Amino acid sequence: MVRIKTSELKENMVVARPVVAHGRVLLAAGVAVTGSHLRILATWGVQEIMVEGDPHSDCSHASQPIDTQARKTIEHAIEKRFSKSNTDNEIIALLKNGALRMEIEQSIQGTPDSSGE
Amino acid sequence: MNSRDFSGIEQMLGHVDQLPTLPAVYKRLQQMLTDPKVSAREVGAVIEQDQALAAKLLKVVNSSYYSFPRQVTTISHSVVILGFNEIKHMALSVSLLKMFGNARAGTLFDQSGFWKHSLGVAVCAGAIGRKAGPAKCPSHEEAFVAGLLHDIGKIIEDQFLHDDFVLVLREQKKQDVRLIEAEKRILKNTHQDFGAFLAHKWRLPAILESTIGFHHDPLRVQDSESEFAMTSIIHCANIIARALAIGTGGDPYVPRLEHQCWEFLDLGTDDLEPIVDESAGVFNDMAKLLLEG
Repeated sequence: MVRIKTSELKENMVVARPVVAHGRVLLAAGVAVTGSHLRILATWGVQEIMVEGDPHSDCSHASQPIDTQARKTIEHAIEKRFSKSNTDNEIIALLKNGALRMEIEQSIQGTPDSSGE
Repeated sequence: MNSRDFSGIEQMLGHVDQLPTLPAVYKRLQQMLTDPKVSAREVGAVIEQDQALAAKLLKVVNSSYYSFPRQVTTISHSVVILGFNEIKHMALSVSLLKMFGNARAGTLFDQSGFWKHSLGVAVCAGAIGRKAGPAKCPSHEEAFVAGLLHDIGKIIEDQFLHDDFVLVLREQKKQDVRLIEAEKRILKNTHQDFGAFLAHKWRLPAILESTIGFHHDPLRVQDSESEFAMTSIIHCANIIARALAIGTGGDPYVPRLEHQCWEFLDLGTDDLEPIVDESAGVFNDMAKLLLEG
């Protein structure tokens, strides 16, 4: 995970930490950046954000978009895993974001998870 | 400790004589530690009678869980560094994994995933205990063994009420409910009850009986602050291990968090990330040592 200037941000880079401006979450962790996100960040004057991997490295994972289907599969699994929990609780919400981010990272890096499910 | 009526459980199990017995080395250590004159060398000698246990214990002491700057080469040295009670808890953890950890293949209940989950909760409980500090968690080793044992009731269900437990697992899948809900419907009791019963039979410390018996209902622990603190640690550790999908607890769901537990441990939102990072890092190391080795 690295800090990057929004001027260097490119589409499909994956947000590592939620982007918050004036108390509002603009982008959640785990989101792949789109052209519309770039415009929103510029509108709100966001200067820097945290993204996955090292975008300046040739072997960066951050510049590799995660396959849309793989991403949907992960999002669905996380939604199901947290479906019986109190996601309005701040700790559970943070855990959910973190789990999504970790599993997207693992998917990009090809690391199998330890789950027996 | 909140008193619990085990008569229904005893009736269900009937053949209680067949229940597993407390690891002998733990029993011996419990007896020894009532003697204030006992030495580290004597405690080390008891553990070293079981060479496999001693070797594994040394590996754990030298693992990333402790991250001691220098290698610890003898059990008696480990006793001096960790303390009598702590080495007793770790000896119990390693003995239990030796006793129960061999996964049975071909059963509906994934025992390999179960022990991964239990170890994940143990490691996470240690990390939470360190963050919470000595006032809330005087012994990380006790937190570790409490995490390892928290779901032991599921092993009792699988081994001694096997046919009913198969119905529980089918009900969980068919109705897509949490395992504890399926247990209530089929067995009228939960793994918390069976686990607390075993802890009671084994005469484990009250704090362990409480954490096993109430980790899904921590607010029911009202009589003792230390028991509530440890039950809170295991309640939170279970949620984190499930959120990270470390192993399986019998269903794929993250339980609801009782926020009072998190607050009671004086933890803030900023504490979550270091706890998760430490747990994920140490788990892989400990799983290699204790589940694969």
